[in-house]
Amino acid sequence: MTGTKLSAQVFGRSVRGASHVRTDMTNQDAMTWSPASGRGQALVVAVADGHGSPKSLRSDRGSRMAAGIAVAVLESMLPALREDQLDRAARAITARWVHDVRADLARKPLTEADLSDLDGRERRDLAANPLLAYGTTLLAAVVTPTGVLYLQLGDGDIVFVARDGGAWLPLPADHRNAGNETLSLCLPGAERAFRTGVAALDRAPQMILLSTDGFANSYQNEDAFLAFGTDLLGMIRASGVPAVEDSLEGWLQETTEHGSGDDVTLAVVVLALPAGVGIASAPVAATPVTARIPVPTRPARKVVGTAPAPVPSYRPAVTPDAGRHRERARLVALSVVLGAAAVVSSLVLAVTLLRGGDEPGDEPTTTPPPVAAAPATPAPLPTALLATTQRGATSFGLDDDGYLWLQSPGSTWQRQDKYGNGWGNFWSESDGVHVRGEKGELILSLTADIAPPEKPVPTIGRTT
Amino acid sequence: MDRPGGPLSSRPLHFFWITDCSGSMASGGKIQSLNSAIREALPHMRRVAHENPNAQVLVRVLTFATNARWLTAAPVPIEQFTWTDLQAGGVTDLGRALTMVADALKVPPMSARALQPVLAVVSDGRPTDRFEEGLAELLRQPWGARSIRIAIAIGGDADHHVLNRFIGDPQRQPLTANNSAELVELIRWVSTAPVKLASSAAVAATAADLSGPPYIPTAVPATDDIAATAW
Repeated sequence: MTGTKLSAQVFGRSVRGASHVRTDMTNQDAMTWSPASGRGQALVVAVADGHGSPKSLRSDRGSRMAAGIAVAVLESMLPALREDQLDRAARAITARWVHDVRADLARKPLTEADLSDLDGRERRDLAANPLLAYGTTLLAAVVTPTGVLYLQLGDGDIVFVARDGGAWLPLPADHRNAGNETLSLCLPGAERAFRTGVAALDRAPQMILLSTDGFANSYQNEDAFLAFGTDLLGMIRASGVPAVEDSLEGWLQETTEHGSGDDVTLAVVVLALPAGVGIASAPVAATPVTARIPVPTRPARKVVGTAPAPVPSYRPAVTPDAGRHRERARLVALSVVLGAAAVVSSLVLAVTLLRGGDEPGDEPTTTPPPVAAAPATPAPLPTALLATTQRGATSFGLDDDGYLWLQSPGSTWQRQDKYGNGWGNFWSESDGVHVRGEKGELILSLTADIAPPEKPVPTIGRTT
Repeated sequence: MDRPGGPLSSRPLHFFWITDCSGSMASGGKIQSLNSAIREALPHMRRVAHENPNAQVLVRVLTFATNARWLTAAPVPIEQFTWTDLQAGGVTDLGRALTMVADALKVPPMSARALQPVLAVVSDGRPTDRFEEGLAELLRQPWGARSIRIAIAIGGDADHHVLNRFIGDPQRQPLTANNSAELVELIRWVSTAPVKLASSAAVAATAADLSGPPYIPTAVPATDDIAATAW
């Protein structure tokens, strides 16, 4: 560790789901990282969850391809990967995955035997979109010397753990992923459905967990899930990484057996934080912060076997595009740029309001949105954004990370970023909110009363 | 080292019986047939639930006639669930019932980690209230829109158009029971197949063109020993 730069190490395990064992299904999760040693000042890790439905019959390959491609693409953009490049990374990952899946299908077309278990509708779905056979989610995190970047498509969880053990979800829940449904690399427009985020040096967590949804779905509730991060950090401090790593597979096995029954994959990234770097506690009022939940005492378990034989990870061929990334990387200084004030000041928020079925009556607002007042205390207090219940013409503010927070009746708080990422793609007009996001512009159509925050809205990843 | 993290739990699978108790259900022994059919189907439902220890099947009953009311407001684990005989009388406020189900599907009280809920409507008539408003309210909830929705039409007077709207999938029609023997078969199927499907946790991708509910066969073979009066 030198100066104030970050470094990290990663380890992880993937276990086949208890219900997959019962039904003789393979583990459709995948996980990979670079460098292979799992240590470095620049580290990339990816986790993917291939869909379990019958028509996603090659999703084990699809998830391995996704994880391998994500690591290769993100690595090619190091060391100068910045927040504003994450969208480009999402596009590159998606394009490369679609390209490689099509190539795989051309080499090994789906046969009648492959489709024998599918019904008529499933066959039609697959004929219309053969990528479905490889459908998968994707989560990735990048540790650079100057910060942490992360992206997610579909279900699964990225958890941050602060120095004091407080754990939280840096990306808010995405209701587009619920029940047996998830966003996926195989869907049209997948590159626009990624959610991304960054944490600069002063907001860097002590530990990052990336897990497929089978993990969180195994816990009684979110607090019980987040307590895993709190507990794990304590164990690593007390016993060291090797001891924890040896126990991890047994824990995950127990988790799927007594929980969701789904495949469970967990990558653990432990950051070495120099003095004065990193976030001390979970952000105030951020997405639920764990309270310590006592774990019942049990007899020590024997961990069966040693580390699993590694599944060969998918290594995409190097593309000219990757070379260009590297060339650009040499030209750009190391930096992680957070949204903050620069984003707000550069953003033009255009609000088009519809009332009932009326035609838009107002010109788009071109006045820059009001910048939220600085909190009165040094703590990263959140900022309320909407002053009153909104319906009809009004102005909206963004928080200082460039997000707009809204709540439609009967729903939880959701945020929308300047790129259109957020709930805009999910909520329908019947919710009273229709969002069309484009770079630098957010178009809202409101047909119902939109409630203001009852309590301050959390900001995530603030720099000040 | 003990396992880090809080308590583990199988995933909740909420099953809702939404049953018509309007006055017309009293004729032809329909309500008695429904009572005995559901009671008969319970062991089958328990068996299917038992086959997947990673799903916790929780059952609720909502009846609708003049207004709607929960017979079991809190979800009851299938292992402890017992059927209380329904009585018929009143009009057919299905819209009100769907509004109440929509409330129950909000997060909270629903868990975001739940499996797809199963909503089974059984009706012999035509809604007498604002059905469309109730349906819209239901579909506004993420869990409502993602639910597996099944409908059984009892007899020839059931409003198939309404039940089709509830199901929301042109490829699946309401299941029709024309006598008590058919009703027994259908109730048994509804008690088991959707539960098996929802608890399989097989992930499907979402998109406008892919987000239809899972495919469920529409044809259920009737038994040969039908002896009941046709409804």
